[in-house]
Amino acid sequence: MNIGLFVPCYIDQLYPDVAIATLELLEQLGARVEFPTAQTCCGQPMANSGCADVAAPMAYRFVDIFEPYDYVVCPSGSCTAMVVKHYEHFFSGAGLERYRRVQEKTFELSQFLHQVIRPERFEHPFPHRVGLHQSCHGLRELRLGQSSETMTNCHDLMGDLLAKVPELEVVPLSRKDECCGFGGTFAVAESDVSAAMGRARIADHAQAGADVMVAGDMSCLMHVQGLIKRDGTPLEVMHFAQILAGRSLQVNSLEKVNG
Amino acid sequence: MSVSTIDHPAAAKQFVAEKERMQWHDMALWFVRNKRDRQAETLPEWEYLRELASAAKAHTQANLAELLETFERHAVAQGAIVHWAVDAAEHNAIVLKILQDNGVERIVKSKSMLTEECHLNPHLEAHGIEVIDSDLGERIIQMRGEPPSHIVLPAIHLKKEDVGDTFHQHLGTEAHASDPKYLTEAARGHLRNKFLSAQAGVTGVNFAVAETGAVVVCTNEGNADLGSSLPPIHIACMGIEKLIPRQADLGVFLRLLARSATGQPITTYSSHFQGPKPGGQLHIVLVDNGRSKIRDSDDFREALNCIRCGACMNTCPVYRRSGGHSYAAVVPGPIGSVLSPASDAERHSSLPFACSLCGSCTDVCPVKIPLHHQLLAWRQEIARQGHLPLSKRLAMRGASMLFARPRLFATVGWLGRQTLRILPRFLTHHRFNTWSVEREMPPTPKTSFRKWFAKHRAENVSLPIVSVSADQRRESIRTEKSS
Amino acid sequence: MSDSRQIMLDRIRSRTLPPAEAPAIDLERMIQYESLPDQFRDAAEFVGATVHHCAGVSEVQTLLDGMESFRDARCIASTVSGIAGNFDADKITKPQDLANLDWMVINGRFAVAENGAIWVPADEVPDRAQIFITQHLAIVVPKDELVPHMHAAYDRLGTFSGYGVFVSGPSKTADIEQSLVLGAHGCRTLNIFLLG
Repeated sequence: MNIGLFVPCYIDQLYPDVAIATLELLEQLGARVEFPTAQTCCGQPMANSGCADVAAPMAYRFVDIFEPYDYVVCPSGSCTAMVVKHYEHFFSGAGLERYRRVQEKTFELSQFLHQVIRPERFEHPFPHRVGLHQSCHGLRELRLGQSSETMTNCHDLMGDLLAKVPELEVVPLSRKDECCGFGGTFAVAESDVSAAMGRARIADHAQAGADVMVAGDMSCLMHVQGLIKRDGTPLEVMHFAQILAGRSLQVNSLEKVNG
Repeated sequence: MSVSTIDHPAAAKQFVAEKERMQWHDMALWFVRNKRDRQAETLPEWEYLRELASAAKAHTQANLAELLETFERHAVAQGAIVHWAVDAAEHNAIVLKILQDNGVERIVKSKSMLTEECHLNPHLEAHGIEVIDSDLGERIIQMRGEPPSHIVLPAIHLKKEDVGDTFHQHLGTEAHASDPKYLTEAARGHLRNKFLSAQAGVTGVNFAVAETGAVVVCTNEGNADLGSSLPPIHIACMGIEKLIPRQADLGVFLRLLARSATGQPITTYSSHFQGPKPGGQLHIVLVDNGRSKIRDSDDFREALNCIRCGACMNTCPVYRRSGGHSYAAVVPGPIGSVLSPASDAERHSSLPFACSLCGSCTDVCPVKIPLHHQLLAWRQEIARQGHLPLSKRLAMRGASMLFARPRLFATVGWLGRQTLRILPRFLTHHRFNTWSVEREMPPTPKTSFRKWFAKHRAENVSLPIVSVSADQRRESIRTEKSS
Repeated sequence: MSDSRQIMLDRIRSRTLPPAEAPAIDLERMIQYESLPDQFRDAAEFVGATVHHCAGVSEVQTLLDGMESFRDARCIASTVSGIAGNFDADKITKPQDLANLDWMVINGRFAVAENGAIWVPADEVPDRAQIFITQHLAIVVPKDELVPHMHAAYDRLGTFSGYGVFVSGPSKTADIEQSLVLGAHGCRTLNIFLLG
C-alpha cells in the first residue's frame, strides 16, 4: 500500500522526530510511505481565527497533493479532523466528489493502525509510567476514544495501542480528558487561562506519578512542554508514535533536541 | 448599541491571578460536573434521551408558530391570560402593567434568566415596586449588588465567608458566622416574611407544553412555589423557545434537566401550572427578544434548544478558570458566548475566542447543541463583519500566502529556528512575545522533517501533483453557503 | 397587546424550516428496575427523604407519633383519613393563615421509582401552598402505585386539569459554597409512607 504522509506544519519544523517515528513505524508494518513535499499546513489556524476564506486554498491544495495515494496518514487528530470534518463546505460539484474520495482515505495514525494494519504487538519495551492525554479534537471530533461526557462505548485507540507495548504502565489521571489549554491561537489570545489549564494537566500527571505525558497531538505537548520547562517539572512529553517506534523517554528533551 | 467591547482575556487574567480562589472555583464546578456524570451513568438510555430532546426541540422550531397558538389556546381555555412581548422593553412594560393594574407594590421573584435578560428588576424598582429575588443564590447577589456568575448556581463564585459577611450586613446574622446551615436558616426566616407579604409572584418557565397549555417550573428550594401559591397573582415569563410539543416530552426533559444541572435525578419540585388557582390570576408572558432572529439562522438555530441547565459552564475549562463575571453577559460560559454575539457581535467579539474548542460543552449538552461548532461559526461571522483586529487578519492572510509556497515555508521555518537558536534569551523570551510570558519556546531542531526525508528517503520521490485545469479549480473554489 | 402577537407570529412564519417530526419515544429502550420499591427507596433516600413501609394508616400514625417534631408540633394539618390533625386547613381565609403550619400530612397519587418523586395533584390539598409552607411534610402513597420512570408517570397521568407537582425529597439548596442544606424554603423534612 502506498501511503501519503501528511505531516503537520509544526511537526515538520519543530518536532521532526514525531514524523520520522511515524514513517519508520509504518514502514516496519509493511507500507511504502511518501512525503509529498508540496504540502505545508492544513489551514486550521486560519479557520479557527475566523478566516476560513483564506484556509480554502489550503483545502484545494490538500486534495491535489494527496489524491494519488491509497491512504493519507497523519500523526495528529487535530489536523486530520480539520481535513475530514471541516473542509467539505469549501467544495462543490466535481470538486466535492474529489474531496470525498480523499476524505475517505485520510486517517489519523491511531485510526489507521486500528482499522487497516491491526498490529498484534510492538517490539520495543517502554518501562515507564505513562499518563494518557486525550487530545480534544482527536477525542471529540474523530472519536478516537470515549469522551468522559458521553455514555457510549468507544474504544480508546491510543490506549489500546500502548497496551501492546511491553512493560508500559498507564497511570490513572484524576481528570481523564480535560483540555490542555493549547487551542491554537487561544494559547496566545487567552494566555493566562491557557497556562492555568496546562499547569493543571501537568499537576494531574504529576500526582498520578507519570514519567511522561503521551498524546496523539504534538501541539498539546508543545504547549505543555513549554510550561514544564518554565516550571522545571520532572515530566517528559512524547507522541505515541515515538513510543511505538521505540524511542527513549528523553527523545523530546529540549537539551537533546537543541543540542 | 455597544458601549464598549467586553475584554474577556483581561478579566480572565485577573481571575487567574488569584490562584487559590481560581483553583477553588475550578474544583467547585468540576465537582458539579462529576455529579452530573454519576447520574448520567445510571441511565443506559442517556444518549437516546439526548437524541429525543434534540429532536423534540427541532420539531418545536419547525412548527413554532402553530405550537405557540396551540399553547395559547389551551392555556386560555384553562383561565390563564397570555401576553406577547416582542422585546425586553415590552416584556417589562407588560409585567409592570399587570402589577399596577392590581395595585401590587411588593413581589417575590424566583429564578428566571429571561427576566435577567430583560433587566426586569431595575424597571420595576424604578416604578416603586419592591422586588425580592427569592432563590437563595440570587438573594445573596441581590444584596451584594452583583450580577449572577452562573445561571443555575448564581453565587458559585462566593465563599461561605463572603455570604456570612453579606448576611451579617443585611440580615444581622452573627459577624464571621459562615456555617451554611446557619446562614440558610437565616435566609429562610427572612424570605418567609417576604413570601407571606408578597402581593404577586414572578417565576420563569422551564417548559411550556403546547399540547396542554401547561407551564412547568422546576426548583429545589420551594421558593418558586411559595411565590406562586401564596400571593393571588402568578406571572410566568418565558422565552418562546421554551415551548415543547407534548406532555410526553416532559418525561424526556425532566429526566435530563436536573441530572445535567446539579447531578440530581429530578429537582425537589416540578410544578405544573394549568390555569390560575381558584380566585387567582395566572399570566404567561411570551417573549421573543431576538429569538426569532436566531431561529432564522441555520448555523445558530440549535442554540434555542437550550434548557438553561448550566452543564456547559460546569464542564468548560475556560469558564471554570475565568469565572462567570469575566463574560460580562447575562448568560456566561459556552452557551452565553453563542447567544450574546447574536444581540451585539462587536461588543461580545472576544467571547467566541474565549474557548479552546475542546468540545466538552457539546458532549455534555443534554439537548445536543453543537456549541463548539457554533462558537467557531461565530468567529467566521465576527471576521466577516469586520470585528477582527487588523493585525490578526493580516497575520492570517500572510500565513496563507506562506503556506501556499512550500519552499518559502521551508526557508522561513529554517530561518525561524536559526534565529531562536542564535538570539540571546532576552530577545526571544519577553513580554511582547506572548507565548514566552508563561512558557519556554518550542525546540529548535537542526533539521526539519522534509529535509530529513529528502536526505534519507531520496528514492521515495513525491509523485507529481496532477495539474488541475483552471475550470476544475474554479469549480472547486466556488463555495456553497446555505442561507 | 394583540399587535405584538401578530407581529411575532408573522415574524416566525416568515421563515419556513424543513419539516422535523416529533420523535416517537420508545419505552423499550428505557431502564427497567428489578424491584420498583427498592429503587424508589434508594432514590428517595438519595434525595434526603425518609421512606417507611406500613401495612395501614394506623401504623403511619404510630410512626408519626414516634417523631419528636411531630409530637412537639403545635399545628398539624392532615388530609389523610385516619391521621388526626389539629388545624383545619379548610377554614383558612387566605394562604398566609398557613404560616404556622408545622406538619402537613397528605396523600400522594403515585410514586416514581427512578427519582423518588411523588405526584401530588391540587385536589389532594385544600390549598397548594400547604405543600410548600409546612415545616415538615409527610406523604402517604399506596405501595402498588409505583411507576418505573417519568415516561410511565406521564403515561399514567394522561390528561389532567389544574395544578399538580412532583415532589422528590425535602427542599434543599447548595447555593452557599456547594454545601448541601436540607430545608431551604419548603419543607425541612419529607417522610414518605408506602402503604400496603
